[in-house]
Amino acid sequence: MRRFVIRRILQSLGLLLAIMLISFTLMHLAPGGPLGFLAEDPRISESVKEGIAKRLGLKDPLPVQFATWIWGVVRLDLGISFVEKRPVFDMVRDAAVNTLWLTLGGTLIGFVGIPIGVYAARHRGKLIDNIIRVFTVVFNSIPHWFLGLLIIIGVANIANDSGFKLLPLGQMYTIGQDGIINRLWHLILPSFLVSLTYIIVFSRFARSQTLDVLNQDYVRTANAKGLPSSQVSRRHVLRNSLIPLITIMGGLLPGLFAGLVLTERVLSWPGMGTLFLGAAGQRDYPTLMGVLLFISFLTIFGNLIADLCYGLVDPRVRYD
Amino acid sequence: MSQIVEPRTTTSVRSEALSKRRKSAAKGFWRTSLERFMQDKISLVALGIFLILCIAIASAPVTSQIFFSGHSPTKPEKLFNDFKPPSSEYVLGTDQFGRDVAVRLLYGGQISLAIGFTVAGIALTLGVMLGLLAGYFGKKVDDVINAFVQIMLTIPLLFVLILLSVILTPEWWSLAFILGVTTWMNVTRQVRGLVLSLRNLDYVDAARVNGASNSRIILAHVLPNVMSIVLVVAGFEIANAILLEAGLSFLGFGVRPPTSSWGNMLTNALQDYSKAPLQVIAPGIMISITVLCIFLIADGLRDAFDPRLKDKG
Repeated sequence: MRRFVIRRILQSLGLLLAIMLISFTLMHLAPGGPLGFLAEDPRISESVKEGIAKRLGLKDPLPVQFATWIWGVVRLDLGISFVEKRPVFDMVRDAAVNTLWLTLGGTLIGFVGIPIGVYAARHRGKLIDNIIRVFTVVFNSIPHWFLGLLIIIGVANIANDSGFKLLPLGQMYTIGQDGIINRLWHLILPSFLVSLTYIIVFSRFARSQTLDVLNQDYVRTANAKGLPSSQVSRRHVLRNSLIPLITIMGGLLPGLFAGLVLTERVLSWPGMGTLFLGAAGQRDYPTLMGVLLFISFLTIFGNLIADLCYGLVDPRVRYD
Repeated sequence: MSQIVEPRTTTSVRSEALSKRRKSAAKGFWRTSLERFMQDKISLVALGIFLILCIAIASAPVTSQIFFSGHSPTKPEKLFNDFKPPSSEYVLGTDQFGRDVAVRLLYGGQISLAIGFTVAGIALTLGVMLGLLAGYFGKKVDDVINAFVQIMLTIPLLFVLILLSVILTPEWWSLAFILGVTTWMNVTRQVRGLVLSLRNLDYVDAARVNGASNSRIILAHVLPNVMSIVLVVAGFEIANAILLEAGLSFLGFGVRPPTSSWGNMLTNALQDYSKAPLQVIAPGIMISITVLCIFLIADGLRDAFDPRLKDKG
């Protein structure tokens, strides 16, 4: 067990390093390099550009620059944003907190998918199962950001026609009315959009897992010896069918962040996606690197933790 | 005499039964799968709609000539023609520059579908190749390819795509290439898994004993047996590529105007909605319908190839 944990952690660190190297290389592939955004401004003379490049250490050989950057990352120093002139670490931290709200809300609502999936499995082939199936396929085909657009438009129309504000149209809170209730109200629509991914994946997964377990011998035994069906489903079916869900959750992280970029854009939510889009538009190199690093870090360690948890909840899993 | 006749009749009966069984077996995997697919009404309807869409979109110049008065997708027909409501001349109205939304939708479909198919082509080629190698050779080769897959899967795709788009300002074909080389991992995983279970089967051993080379075994004996899974994965690849392109273009980092794509037609959706509702709803519906059809076809194919999977959803 301990050897496995150590090996997995080392692997994760290696993976992180590889991704950092890739994003670093990408940045320097850009025409004009990291300072490409300065080239478009005619007011800045060559000598000033030279000075800026020298001050930021961009004249050093690339390996040295990479090492410097890594050393900074180790000390939680991601540099200063070119545009905002603030430490990137602070910007990423603030945005991450905002995104965390979305992810939490989305995950919590997303758990609805589990009972849906279990229910569908227990009524396999019946009308309700088919209806659930149709819904998951359809909602998997509609881009969730487009659904968000439609809902916003609908809400705006209702507000225009009757003056009744069903939901806010974006942002995290109404300026001047910041408070927990106002924030929760603003969280409803975005976390619903985020939760769609979870609901679909969870319900599908829970359904196929439950079906698998229902066909196992020990379930037949439990039924045969006369256990009430509620106890069978709680103690024998649910417990065994939901274990693999943990690994799924780890694997969902990267896709979720991709979805967040779009959802945050549609709802002008000031999270990681919005930060990244803004930085990309202005070629704010340190911020782009910071966000990429942070998200890769989350993904890798999300997977790592999922792997480790898998062994904790399922004694059949052997590490070697 | 009778003793001799007796066995004769039984053997003839037996061989008859045998040849009958042969005949049904001779229908082959693809034929029986096709028959199963043809019985699946939902998949057939999806396939029909998808084909009609493809034909209408592929022949966009002709279609727009017949149905939409031959308007240009990128140039306005006349001045002061923006945000016109639907009429007999402009079936879906006009956009903020006075261009025909319906025609833009058709030409945008060309981009979306072209990207979908190109991405799937690239991703399948790469994915199948690596999956075959990893699954067949195992050991070191498998480790290296697996590590590569792991790294690629950990890269936050949409973020890197946005970055690449800023750096390279791609055309639709270079965008398709980038999407293709970043989304093959799922194919590799599926193919690898299947090859692992195939490579120790008797017929592969038999080929090996016969002295067939590795490349011959892979191409002639393993590859045909993974083609069914590849076909199913291809559907999901196409659909996901269309969704990814739409998202990227919506954000302004995919296909750039004036070329229309279903994604970039939605970029200004919130500003333009009150003036031209159809301009906002139509592209999104096109994306959803296309993706839905592809998902249904892929699902139908999967069930047809392996009916045991049907209940697993």
